[in-house]
Amino acid sequence: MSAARITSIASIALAALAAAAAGAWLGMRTSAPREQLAPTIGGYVLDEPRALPDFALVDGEGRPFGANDFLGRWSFLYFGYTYCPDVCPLALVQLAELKKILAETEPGVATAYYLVSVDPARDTPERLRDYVTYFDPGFRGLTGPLAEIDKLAKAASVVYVIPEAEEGESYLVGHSSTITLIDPEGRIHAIFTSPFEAETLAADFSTILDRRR
Amino acid sequence: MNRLLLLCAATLSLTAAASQPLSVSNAWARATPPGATTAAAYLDIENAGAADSLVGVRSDAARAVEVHGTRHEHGMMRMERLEELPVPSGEVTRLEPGGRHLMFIDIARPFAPGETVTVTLQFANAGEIEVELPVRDARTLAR
Repeated sequence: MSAARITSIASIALAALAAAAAGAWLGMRTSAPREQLAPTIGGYVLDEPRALPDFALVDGEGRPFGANDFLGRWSFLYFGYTYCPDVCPLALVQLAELKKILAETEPGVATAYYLVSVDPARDTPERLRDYVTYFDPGFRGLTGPLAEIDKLAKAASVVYVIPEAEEGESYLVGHSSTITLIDPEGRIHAIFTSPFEAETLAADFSTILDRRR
Repeated sequence: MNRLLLLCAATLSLTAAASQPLSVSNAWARATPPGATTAAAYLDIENAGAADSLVGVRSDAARAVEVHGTRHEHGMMRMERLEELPVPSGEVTRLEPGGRHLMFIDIARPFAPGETVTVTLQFANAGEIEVELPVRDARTLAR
């Protein structure tokens, strides 16, 4: 393992993700009594929404951003980084499309969209802002010290590996490619797994909303 | 990028002999967000001849161009450099979003929609093939 660093929660998160990928969806399909509680989505809905620990990040304007800033709207989070040329743009394009769809299908529902950096050494707030607003002017980037990012990543079962690299050397960060849905109470409500399709995400989100209506 | 190249954006120029068993299609590069230093490009390589492999890529548009694979490992998507990309006989080898792709490292300037980027693909047997990659704004491809 050439990785200098892997989030300490790796084993927990790996187990969670492996379980999710391998069995959760199937489990929901085949377990009839649970179906009402856990709709079939491209990912999984947590049985009990998971409260977020407090954390101290900054947004693209350098303004402090903590767990309370998620309150009052549904938030979609993608963990990635601005030097990522393929999977991150793919996810953000779908999120931008999702935002457009939801404006039509769920017009009264407030939503927000975030890219959480897993490469804070290179992703400055300004850089993140320029990157995310390219995909949608309303998108926001979040970054900060690794220890703070880890708190949010751990709660979202996101893992990432930043390889050792010399100053100025290019490197790639391995990371989970999931979309985390945070409810208006600021709790992790669902985790969507890739590949992402905006239409599917929108339908899944409406299914989740229907449970609460 | 000169006008002539722009006019030829949709076509591919093969510098190898006419008997070239490899043909490249669906080639394009993703327009880069502001500040990006990396870029991705995609293409299909159809091999009507004997098995070959892509062993190198170069371009004036970046300090280095690598072939990257996407590996799902421990719940993570990890990009890894492929030293060699097999191009099996009789098959179309696809480089596409979310999968294998060409990665441009330290691009000289942003990849802007409407422009083209030239890459030279080096194959073990077929030699070099020059490909023009039209730059597309992939934000508009979602729908």
